[in-house]
Amino acid sequence: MTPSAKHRQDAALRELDPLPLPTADHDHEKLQQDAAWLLALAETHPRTRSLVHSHSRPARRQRARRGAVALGLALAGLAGGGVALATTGGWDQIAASWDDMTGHDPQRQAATPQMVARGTGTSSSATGITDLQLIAAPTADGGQCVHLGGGASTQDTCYSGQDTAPKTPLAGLGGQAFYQSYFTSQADYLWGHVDPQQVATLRVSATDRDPVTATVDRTTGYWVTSIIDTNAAHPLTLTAIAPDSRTLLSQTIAP
Amino acid sequence: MQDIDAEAFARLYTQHLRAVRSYVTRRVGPGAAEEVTSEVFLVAWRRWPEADVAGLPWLYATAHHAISNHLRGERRYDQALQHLQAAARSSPDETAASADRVVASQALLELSEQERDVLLAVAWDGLTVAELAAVLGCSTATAHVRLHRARRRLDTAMRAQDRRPDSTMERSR
Repeated sequence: MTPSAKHRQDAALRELDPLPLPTADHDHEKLQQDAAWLLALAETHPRTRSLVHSHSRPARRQRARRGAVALGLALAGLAGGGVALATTGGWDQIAASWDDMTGHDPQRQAATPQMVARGTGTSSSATGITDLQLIAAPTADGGQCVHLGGGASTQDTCYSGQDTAPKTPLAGLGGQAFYQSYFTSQADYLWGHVDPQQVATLRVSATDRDPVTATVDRTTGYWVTSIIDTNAAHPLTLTAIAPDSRTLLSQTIAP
Repeated sequence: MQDIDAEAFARLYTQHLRAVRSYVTRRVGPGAAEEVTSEVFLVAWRRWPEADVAGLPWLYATAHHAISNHLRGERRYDQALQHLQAAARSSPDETAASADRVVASQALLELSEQERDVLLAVAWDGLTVAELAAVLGCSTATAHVRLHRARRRLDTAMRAQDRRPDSTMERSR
């Protein structure tokens, strides 16, 4: 191959480069936040990762862009030499996080988010979590975006209509019946939606753990709770209880 | 739970994100680039400290696998190349250089996927032969040979394109 042919080849290939110009650099803080988000994602339970990966591609891309905001990670978590889940703290911060979460995707702008349930639960990092907050809004494709905050952790997740199709034990209990949970090293968080006329409380129990009870919001039908870290090794049992105290359903839901 | 050296991870990420993202974007497009790039760094975390020690060549190799998985799933590799070709043809630039671009884009389609990978990794991403060897999982000497063969194949294919009447017409417009 002659030098001129090599030169021609190099020049032609360079011209074909779809990225002839350097891509814009993230600012330093954004880079660190992204790194923190990746670390947090890697640190979470495999099931949580699979949830993230089961989302639609736009949702995953959005998560990647949102970086640390998605899990409420603070830059301080990195500065301290370890990953720390930052307390979200306060409605304003939750609302700001929500705006960031939904503001860039038309699919996610179908409705104004609202507080749909409050609850309590247990965690290994404290004697108890007394103010779990669940914020939700339906999406244009029939799914939901939810923000679950409280204790030392927070989670934003968007589910497509396909994700939220009734496929859980709660499907028979009215409404858009589903639940999801996510795991941290301190607690497993659960939330869901049922027909409040049919279900008054949800009890979550696990081997060697005190059970927790979530009260179904009478207006919205949502519920939220957390149970001290079960390490995913022990199955969680979900029990739905009717307003008249009848047990409607009791079923293992995890791992 | 695995002990994480967060500062070292952030350093690796900050230092190499741009190179990895560019490498990925060139092959999967901007739409999927962030997702695939995230996957690369997640693998880096799981394979810590191997990723830290091996650095950029390791990240390129991991990106190469992640891209292969993505494209296998999406079956978009040839589609992407067709777009590349279409973009080259539709360019308003009528210089000789742009004509070579058309010829090269057509010639690339005649190469194997592996040959294209080798050529574009060097031409687009500026990989050294040692880095190329890491991506390919072979010795530096073998990478040299593969690059040389790919160059020769592209040269032959470009010359063949030069001789085609439609290509000549394209170039003389």
